[in-house]
Amino acid sequence: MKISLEWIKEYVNLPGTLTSQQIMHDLTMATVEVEEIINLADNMQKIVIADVIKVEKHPDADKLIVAECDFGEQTRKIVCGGINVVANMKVALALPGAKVFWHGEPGLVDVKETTIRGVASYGMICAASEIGLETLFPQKIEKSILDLSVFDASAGELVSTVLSLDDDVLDIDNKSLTNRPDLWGHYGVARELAAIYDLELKPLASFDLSKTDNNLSIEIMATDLCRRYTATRINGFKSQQSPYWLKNKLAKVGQRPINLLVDLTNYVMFALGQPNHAFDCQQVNEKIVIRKSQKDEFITLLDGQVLELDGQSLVIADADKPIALAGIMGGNDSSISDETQDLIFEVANFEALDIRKTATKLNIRTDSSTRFEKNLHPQLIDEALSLFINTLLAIQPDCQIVSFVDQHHTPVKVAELSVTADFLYKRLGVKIEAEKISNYLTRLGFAVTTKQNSFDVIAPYWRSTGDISLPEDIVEEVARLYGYDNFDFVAPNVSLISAVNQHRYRMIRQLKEYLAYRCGMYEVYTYPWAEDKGLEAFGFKDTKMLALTAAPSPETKHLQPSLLPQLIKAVSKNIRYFSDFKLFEMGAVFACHDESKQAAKTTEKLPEITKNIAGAFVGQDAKNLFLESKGVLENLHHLLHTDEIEFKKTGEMSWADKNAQLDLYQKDNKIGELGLLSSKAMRLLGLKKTRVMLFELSVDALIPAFSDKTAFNPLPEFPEVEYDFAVLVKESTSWSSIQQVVSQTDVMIKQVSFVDEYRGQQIPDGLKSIALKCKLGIADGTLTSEQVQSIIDQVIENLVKNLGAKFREE
Amino acid sequence: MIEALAQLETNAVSKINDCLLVDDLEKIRVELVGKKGELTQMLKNLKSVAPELRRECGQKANQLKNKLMQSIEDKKQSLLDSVSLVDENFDLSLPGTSLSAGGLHPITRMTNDLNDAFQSLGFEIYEGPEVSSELYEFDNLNFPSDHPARESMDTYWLESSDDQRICLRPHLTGTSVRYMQSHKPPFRFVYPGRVYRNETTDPRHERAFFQYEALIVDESIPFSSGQLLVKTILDRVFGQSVKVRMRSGFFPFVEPGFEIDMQCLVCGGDGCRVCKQVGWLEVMPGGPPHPNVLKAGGIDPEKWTGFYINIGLDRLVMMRDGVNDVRLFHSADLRFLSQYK
Repeated sequence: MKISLEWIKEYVNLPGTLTSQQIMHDLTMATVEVEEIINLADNMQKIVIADVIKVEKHPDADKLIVAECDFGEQTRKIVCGGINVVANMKVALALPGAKVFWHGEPGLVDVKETTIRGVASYGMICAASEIGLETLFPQKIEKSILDLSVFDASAGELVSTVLSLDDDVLDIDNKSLTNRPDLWGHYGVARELAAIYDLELKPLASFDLSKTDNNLSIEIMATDLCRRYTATRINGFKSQQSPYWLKNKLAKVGQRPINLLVDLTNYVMFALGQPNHAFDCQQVNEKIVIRKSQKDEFITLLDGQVLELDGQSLVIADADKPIALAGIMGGNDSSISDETQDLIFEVANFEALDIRKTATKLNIRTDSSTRFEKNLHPQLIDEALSLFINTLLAIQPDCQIVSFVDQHHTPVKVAELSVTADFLYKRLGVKIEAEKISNYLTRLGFAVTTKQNSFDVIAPYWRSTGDISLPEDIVEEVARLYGYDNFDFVAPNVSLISAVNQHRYRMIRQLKEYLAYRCGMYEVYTYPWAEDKGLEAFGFKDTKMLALTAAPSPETKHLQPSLLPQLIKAVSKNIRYFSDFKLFEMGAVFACHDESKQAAKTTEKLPEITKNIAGAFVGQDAKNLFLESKGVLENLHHLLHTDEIEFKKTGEMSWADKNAQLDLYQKDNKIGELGLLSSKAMRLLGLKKTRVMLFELSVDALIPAFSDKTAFNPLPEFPEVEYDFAVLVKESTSWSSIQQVVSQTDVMIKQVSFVDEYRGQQIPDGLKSIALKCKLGIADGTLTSEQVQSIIDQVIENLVKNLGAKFREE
Repeated sequence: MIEALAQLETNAVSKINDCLLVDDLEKIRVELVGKKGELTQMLKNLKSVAPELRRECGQKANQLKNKLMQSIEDKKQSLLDSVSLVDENFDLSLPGTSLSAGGLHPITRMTNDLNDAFQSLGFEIYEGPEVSSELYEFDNLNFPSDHPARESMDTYWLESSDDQRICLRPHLTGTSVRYMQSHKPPFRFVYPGRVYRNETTDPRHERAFFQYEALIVDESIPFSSGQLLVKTILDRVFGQSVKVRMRSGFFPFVEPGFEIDMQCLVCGGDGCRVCKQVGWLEVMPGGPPHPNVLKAGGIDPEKWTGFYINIGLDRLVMMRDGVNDVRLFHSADLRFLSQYK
């Protein structure tokens, strides 16, 4: 919302030393956020009034003219394309160095002294749009130059001065005004500034309507939705353009001037924040009824759109049809026109929630509905009536105020509160004297009665529609005027709580750090709404999933039941730039909840949400990727101090290669999966050549230990012996079966480890050579070479017997 | 003979000293003390020396032999010790072997920094569900029933047949009520996480973003203490003293509400492009919980007060690290993420 400081100064005398920057800061700190200060004159530094002395055709261009212009200090020739430039006209001349908007250019451009088709031109004669004044001076034809002849101005004067544009306009963030209906007009902001700076607010002149007859038929059928309705009949109006002061005010707050009557209704709204409306008496049949619309009724609104109404929207109607959408927009048929002589001026008060509902339902937002939605007080109507009538009569003294009806069925009480001093001090953290507190509140319009240990306060009517309702609200009012900058930084006086030791968060952090810093993986975050393509590739096509009602796109409607579809999408994105990489993501996965239980309005039934972690290993060699990813999972428990992860082959994962997939277990619980992305899944995902190993497991299933789980093993007192050998086995023989046979052969075999696997020239087809290392030892001595040999002989015998192993001749 | 020995010694010592190779040293040894070596010959020739001098000459020659052999041995050791284990032109400018690179997401790093800061102040870490209900996300938080944030233009609602609507949580604040309902004050806790809004994305706006919220509840928490809390945290995150200010703001769940600004670190408050010439950057809303919120959490607002702060993590990382597009955080783009090793 735009607030003109010149306008504000009509209501409050701001000291000359107070800069606009200071006002911006103080309002931002105490009340609402001022986003910027706009001054139209800033960009009009070298744009001056010029008298056109003589106009000639350009010797070398049909569409151009050469105007001789007097701009005070000099008379120079200017080449111009404007079709309406004639001698004795006053124009806006942009001198060299001035800034103007130029067709098609995004920002401002500098005007330069130049030669156009052989004729020297000293500047530019401007159209309204070229100097940012198209709101103030609507341009009917593009090439029409702004004619300023009606203004009393001498050549050489700054156009911005002549047009009174040198005004700092505050641009206030509308969001920060949500809870302050009183600040939606200039008078309210002036009142706020008067309170902040302890200045006097000028009262508005009132107009006495008490003796006017009430010869108008008004009927409010919905008194809960229309709290008050006033109608004033005014006769003898003559349509005209608004005086310049009024146009100027409206243009500066961004409202295009139209004609006097429309401009006056807007003026009252921007001055006081009270929307209002004028009907043409001729178009209103008999009476005005405020009622709910009926089904199948139609209304054509002011902006031309035709609405079919339901039975719910509040309308203003005459004897037979709706003539306005209450508080939102007037109807086209009943609206004032250039022929209007007798009018009915409406100022009413509507219930905020209902206006909001209707505006939302119909998707129509207007300056009027925006203000009503904030919940205006019915008393504001009195000020709006007086301002409208006084201003109209000042411009057209012949207008007659014929009738006035005021129906006020639903008054809104002013807020009354009592706040204890102790409560105030405790919340503020500072002891402010009672006198000061009373002074702050009085400045803000509150009536204050100071008691021994408390304050009884009555809020002003303009703060009484919800904004002020709790003792906490009084804390805020006092704090705002005391000044947030004046509060010291005070250490909180808190109770000591036992030390924070949260194993789960320790584990989660270590898990991420393990994957990133020990396993060389990068952490990613992806959206939780998965793409249909990915869901299909991972076998979720027929799974019932949570769905968004308004998804970012139609193919991302479902919330992920697994992290893998989105993780593989992240893989696909990076394949363009990288060939070998590793990613992981920790995030929530969602499962639909049990349909059989219906949640009541006051309880909640949430879907099953699990925290998972997933990883992707991308490269060319499936086997290496498999071993690497398995290694990551095998070693996880060391740093995390959880139970070890075990691997079981079940072959149930649809997305994984049938020969390269393992289920992940802890004890007897399945906690996740590890597998190579299958050919089919790759095809569905559009992936080629590359190989991807994926794992996903439940972080919730990992149970963190309360402390470090590493168990110490005494160092061997006697040296242990290492023995390396190779064994030939069938391709189908697994390492785990070899390991089992070897380690169960003798208790003196302390450790059996894999060295490598070999296939090649000396190895017969269908066999592979496995090299392994055994560590042997006993607690109370050193093994002799004979003892070692006999154990190894036994190992070999067992391998031959159990696995059909062969040994290569030395 | 004596002179000859002296002459031999001088020659031999200089030869040994000048020798650069272990092999050459061996040749010198053979030449001097080998079977046919110079000194060996002289020792053999002792017989021809006058008998009265023979003893002295013999002693001297043997001493010399021992001395030379020791010198050769010493020289040999010193030559062996100085042998380089790498090539003469070993290239020291080659880059070091790269480690298996990986890294945590910048948001996680910031979360960890904040967790450290808050935990050192005795805050507990808490977590709430990303899918939540209208009851927890709006009703409990004093949002009027017609508040615009409840509409699907703002919040991602989920299809459901229940009366109680569920959504991807639009903020973290709903989680605080879950904590309040299950704990007895006084307490202080943080609850970081991801939240969702139905927005059009651009370099400053995202549909999914990260917040970090903290709530302290005790018998007396004036809001000037909240201000100190914010400053303490920001000082810690930015590693320098950060100026903080609070000003009026309006949020349904706090009363009074504040916008909390930090002084722009780029210009030091003078005004620049980053802070839109204001000198201050809006970093978080905050304020004491609205009495209705405390009541929803089962806490007596007459007895307890508190202070919320809600930090936008994306903005904070962008400010600290200079990231210029909020969408990078969900891009999973390694060209971005690999900068965070």
